[in-house]
Amino acid sequence: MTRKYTKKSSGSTASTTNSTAEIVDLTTSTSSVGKKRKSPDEKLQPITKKALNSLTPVQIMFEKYKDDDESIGPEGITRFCSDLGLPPDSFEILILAWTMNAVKMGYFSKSEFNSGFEKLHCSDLATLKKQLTSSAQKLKHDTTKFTDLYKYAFGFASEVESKKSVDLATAAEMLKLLLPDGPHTTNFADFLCTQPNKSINKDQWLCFLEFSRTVKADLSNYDDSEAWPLLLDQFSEWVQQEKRI
Amino acid sequence: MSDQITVDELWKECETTFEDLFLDLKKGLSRKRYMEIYTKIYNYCSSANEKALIDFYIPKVKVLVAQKAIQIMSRSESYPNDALLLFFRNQWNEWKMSSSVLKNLLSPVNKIHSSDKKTTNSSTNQNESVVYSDTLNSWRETAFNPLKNKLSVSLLQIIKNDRTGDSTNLQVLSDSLECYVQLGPEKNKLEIYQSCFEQQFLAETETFYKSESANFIEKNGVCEYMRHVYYRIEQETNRVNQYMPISTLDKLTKILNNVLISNYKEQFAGKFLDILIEDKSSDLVMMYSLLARVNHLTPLKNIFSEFIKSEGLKEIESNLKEAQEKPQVLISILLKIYSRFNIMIRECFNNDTDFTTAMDKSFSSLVNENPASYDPKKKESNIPVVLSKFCDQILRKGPHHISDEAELEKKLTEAVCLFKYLPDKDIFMLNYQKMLSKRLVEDISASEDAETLMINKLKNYQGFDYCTKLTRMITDMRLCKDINTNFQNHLNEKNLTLPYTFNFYVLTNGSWSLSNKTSATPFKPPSEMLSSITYFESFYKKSYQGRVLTFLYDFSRADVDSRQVKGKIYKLTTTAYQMAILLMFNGTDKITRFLINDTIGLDETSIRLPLLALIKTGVIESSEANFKNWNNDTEFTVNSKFSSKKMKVNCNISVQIGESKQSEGQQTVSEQEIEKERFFKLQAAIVRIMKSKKTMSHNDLTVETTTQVSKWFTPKITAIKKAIEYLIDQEYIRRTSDDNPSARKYEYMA
Repeated sequence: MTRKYTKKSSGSTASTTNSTAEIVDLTTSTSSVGKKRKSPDEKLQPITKKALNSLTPVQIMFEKYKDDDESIGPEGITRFCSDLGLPPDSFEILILAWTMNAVKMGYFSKSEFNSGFEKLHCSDLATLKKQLTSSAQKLKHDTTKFTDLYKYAFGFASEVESKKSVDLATAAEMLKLLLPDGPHTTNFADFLCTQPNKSINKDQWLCFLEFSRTVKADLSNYDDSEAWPLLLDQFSEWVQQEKRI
Repeated sequence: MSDQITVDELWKECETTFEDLFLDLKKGLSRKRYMEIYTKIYNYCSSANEKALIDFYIPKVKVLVAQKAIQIMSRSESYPNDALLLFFRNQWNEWKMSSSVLKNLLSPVNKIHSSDKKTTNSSTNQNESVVYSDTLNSWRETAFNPLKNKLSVSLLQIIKNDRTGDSTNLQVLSDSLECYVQLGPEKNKLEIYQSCFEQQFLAETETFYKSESANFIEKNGVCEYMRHVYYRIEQETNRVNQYMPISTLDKLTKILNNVLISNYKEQFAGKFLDILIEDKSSDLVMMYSLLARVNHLTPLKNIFSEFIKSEGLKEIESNLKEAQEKPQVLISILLKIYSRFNIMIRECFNNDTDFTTAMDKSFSSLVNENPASYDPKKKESNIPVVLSKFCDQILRKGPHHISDEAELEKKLTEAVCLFKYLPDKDIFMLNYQKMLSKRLVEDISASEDAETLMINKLKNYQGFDYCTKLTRMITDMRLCKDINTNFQNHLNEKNLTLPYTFNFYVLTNGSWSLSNKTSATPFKPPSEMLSSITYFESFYKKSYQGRVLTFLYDFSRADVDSRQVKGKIYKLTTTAYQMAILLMFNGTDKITRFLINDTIGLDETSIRLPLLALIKTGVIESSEANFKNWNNDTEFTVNSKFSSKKMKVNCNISVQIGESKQSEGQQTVSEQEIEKERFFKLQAAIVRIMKSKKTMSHNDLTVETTTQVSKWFTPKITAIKKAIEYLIDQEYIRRTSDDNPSARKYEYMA
């Protein structure tokens, strides 16, 4: 995620301690999943000033974090994440964004927010956290689904209208998040920082996943006469020059 | 029949005649006698019984022949060794003759005999007369076998004499060897010749030349030796052709090649460079033809190839400065080298294709990597630019133009010769196109015919599509003449007159690499120009509906009469911008930069160049010498003291701005423009290929793309990849999602 974004999240970690009470509060309510309609209502009522009887728990949650009528912005997300007990730049939150099909990093629109909770079949934060943690585990073994997430992450991270490019620093952070154990992730992230180009395109992004999956850590099976994008040719050259093997 | 005779009588009749036939051939056999004998034999044969002939008559003949042979050869003992061969040869010739007469006389008998043979199943050849083969057998047994060793020695001596200058008795050699062959068995006529003579002959030859060649080369050196070998081989070959069985030639040639050439081939090749340096074509021919016999041309080819390169480099290096500065010099050096070695290949190396290939390779590296045009830092040669400049110079009006048509065509043909060696023909084309634009627009092309001629030459070599833009340009120029005439007619019809003479060029967008330089604010043509432009625009739009005209003021030229100096009228050739500036002085002597910008419309940077050029020619003066300090208030004045030797002054000259010399319209095409053009070409090729193939592997696409653009340039793999990635990004193609990475392909997205 962008550096800007990272900074914000680190600032917000302090606030997590403040909201611990709430989290505890929420987790206790997970026992009564069946009654989900009622229980969050009760808890949220004191927070909201108006009468929210007509709203669903998810809608109420949205109301709690929203910046304006239609979306939750960076500040709201930070609060949301801290209430959820997950750092905003965590793999789990990315999964959440993916499930919501959130278009832009740092923002959840109302409909995205609702559809996300619907898909995950939950309406409270504790269940959500559980769901996300288990999804994160499952995804590590499900290549097809992971590829979907990986593809999604590109558009999510892109800050341009066309969704065709992601700036290099964001891409590097995102890769570390997605492929923390990838054989090339650290090197590639460092390499990106040395590049004169400002951004990475979708093709390069997708090819890197393929690259991480097929090319050995020592690059011994890398063949630059194959269809790899130039960026990866340059990367393999760079790795050798920098003696990072 | 009444005159029926017995076989005994028949034999008696024949015997003496036969004896005379063999012993005293010179006495001859009269035709009458011959006929008598023949008739008798014939008659007998047609009536009498065959058995008597075969059992009695034929054996009698055989015995007689054998006896005669002994009788003849008994005389041989009196001859010494030298004369013995001559005696043998003469006797053999006679014996041959006698035998053949006998054969003819006995031909009726033969017929019976041979038909009889069929039943008795003898092995003798049916067509061969039985008696004739018997005469040969007798000769072999009686005459040849006892003497054969002595004879062969004498024959070898004849050859040895021939080799050392005494060419007598060659006919004896020939006749005797013919005898060797005649005596051979029917199955392999050459058997006796080979075993009794050829073997010794070949061995003797090898020994002879082994010792001769070693001595000769040591005494006379390689070149003399080569000539000697050439002569020897010719002599030996001729001897075999004239006097010996032809089958010997191959064996002999093999030995000669081996002894005379192969043994010395390293020495030959070692001398090759010296001969090249001395430029002795006769020795080159000699060496080529000799080493070609033993298939040892590769070292020559390599030396030759290196030599071309070093000769070329020597020539260029000794004129380096000139060659770097003047295209004419570098090109003519290259052409000199080219024609010199081309002639050498034709005249000395038998147009050998291997040599041509070797030359192509080294000449191409000379063209592209010579120090006058190669930039080692950029790893690039500017020879394509040099060559296009060369063409420009000879095709434009000026000192380098050649008015003689044949001579000009020769030069152009030579230019195309060099063109063939350019690896990046697109750079040549882009520059050629740019220079042609200039020649045509500025009307400085010396001849339209010559322009067309050159374009056709390029077309012939590189294909139609390589020259489409050039062809289009020439067509445009032709059409312009009509357009201007039509415009004039149009004006006349409408009773309109233009204040000044105008000539418009209407050029197809895209075929001409012409565009206005960007100025933040557009040019405002002065009123003097404006009316003509408006008239033309309305005329053109009416005649050619749907077309858009863009005026390229950057390339417009004007002739301005200057009366700035009293009593003199200078004719100034200017750009449109310069004209606009000068026209401002019609009302006043002094104008500020601000006013100029305001009136003409061009921005501050764009106005610099025309002003600086006018100042440099001396037509106007500025209050501030350094253009960097110019501001809105800087004043420009007419130079009333302007003077020039020529009344016609060109104001469109290049001026120094910053690091580089600039004039309006850069002469050569920049690297960026070339890169851009190549990127387009690659994209176009890839899209074209993918459109027809739909899916393709990376390797196939790379290969196919390279082939498609090879007419223009040799693409780097990275450039192709870049274009592919760009097209993926633009969603013209995509990568297929195959699980196996090596099976993954590109796919065309419709």
